[in-house]
Amino acid sequence: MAYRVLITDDSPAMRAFVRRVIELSGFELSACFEAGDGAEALAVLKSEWVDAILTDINMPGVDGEELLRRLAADEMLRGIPAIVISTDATANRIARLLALGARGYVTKPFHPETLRAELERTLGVPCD
Amino acid sequence: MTDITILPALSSAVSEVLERMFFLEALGEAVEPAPEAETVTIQIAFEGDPAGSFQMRVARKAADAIAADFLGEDPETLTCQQRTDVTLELGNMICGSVLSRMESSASFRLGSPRAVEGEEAMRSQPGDTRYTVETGSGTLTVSIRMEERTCPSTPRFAS
Amino acid sequence: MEQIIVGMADCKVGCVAGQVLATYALGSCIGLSVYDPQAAVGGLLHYMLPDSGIDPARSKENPYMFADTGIPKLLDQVCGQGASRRRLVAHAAGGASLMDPKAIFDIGKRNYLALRKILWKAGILLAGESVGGGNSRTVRLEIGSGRLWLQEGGGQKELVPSFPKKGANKWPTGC
Repeated sequence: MAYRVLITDDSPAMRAFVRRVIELSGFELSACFEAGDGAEALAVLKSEWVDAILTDINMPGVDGEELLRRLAADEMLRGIPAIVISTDATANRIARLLALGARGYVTKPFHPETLRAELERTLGVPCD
Repeated sequence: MTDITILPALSSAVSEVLERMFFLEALGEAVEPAPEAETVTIQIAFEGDPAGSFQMRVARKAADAIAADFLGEDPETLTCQQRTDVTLELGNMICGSVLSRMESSASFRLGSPRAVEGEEAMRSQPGDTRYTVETGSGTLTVSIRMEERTCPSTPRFAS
Repeated sequence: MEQIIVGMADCKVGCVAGQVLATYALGSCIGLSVYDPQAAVGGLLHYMLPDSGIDPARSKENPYMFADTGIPKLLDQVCGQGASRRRLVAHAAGGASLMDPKAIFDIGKRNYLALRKILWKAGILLAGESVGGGNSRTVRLEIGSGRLWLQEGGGQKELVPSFPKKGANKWPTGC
């Protein structure tokens, strides 16, 4: 199965890193969209379907927390699993984001295998 | 907040970030940071309780090696933009990791990291807590300045 | 079963069912095993130091002593026997701090970081690892089944059970 994912982070380097982890994890990608903040992510989602969203939290403009709120409020989008990738490791923040609908949470810094495990948990084990 | 509370947070954050995502061991505390002319300086302002600012200065050679390792590429193939982007993200990660180690009445909010030069680049000021490590390709210095807290608190854990 | 011993600063590749690659006394050294379940080809490297730059002449004599020369050679050799890099399932063991409890010269950690850096660049993620701590380890890789055994501190456990037969669509992972 080929997946369509959306990576949202204001850091191009981090987007490249996450994309590489997804590819090396054995997931075949038929599309990999990138967005620099929540507003760009929502613009992508107006016209493209994705199987998963990976998002940073601290971004200028529409941040990750607001993005999760808007996804949860949208009938069409709320079913798309979102994994948060953030430096904020505080229990309160994690709990708040999971309550907003995030399906997974990876704290930076992380081993690539940690993100792979979270992807597998969210999307299922990749087929070869 | 004092050096005695912030310094362990700085040192453990630097080690964890360098090892986990950049595959680099901090080879021990260095006495002298690299000369300013051969370095890249990143600055991040943050809001929270307390608010403050963070700076990272890294030897250019170290920054190039770190960027190549992070992206899994050969150093010669990297563009200037890629090197800058990785260095900004390195600063962002260390800053975020330090702040995650600090107890606060409110979540910290990091501004976007930016590269600074000249007068804006690192100068030691009273109240700054600074930490310098040797990376093997040059030094990396981080510095954090915290404004006055509204609520007294301590770092969540020291190492 | 044909047991093939991988010594210190050594590397062996197997492509015949019934072969077992085994390496012992992984202290600060790292044992890296790679296995292609489809081609049924595997390799085991036991390296001692992270960076050949400290002794280029020695690395020319024996590239398997160092991570940066040994790991690429291991990958080339398994692929030369029909493995696909993309299908390789990699495990690491070792990187302990045996003689240096305060980890002042932590060769084990440096070996581990070198491993991660080189595998990331080579496009390979680890499927599992048993690293650090203070115990010596032994690793055995069964060619044919892909089973991987780890011995540590007097106990033995199966890190990887047999791979499913060809045609199945799941493979074991876990870090």
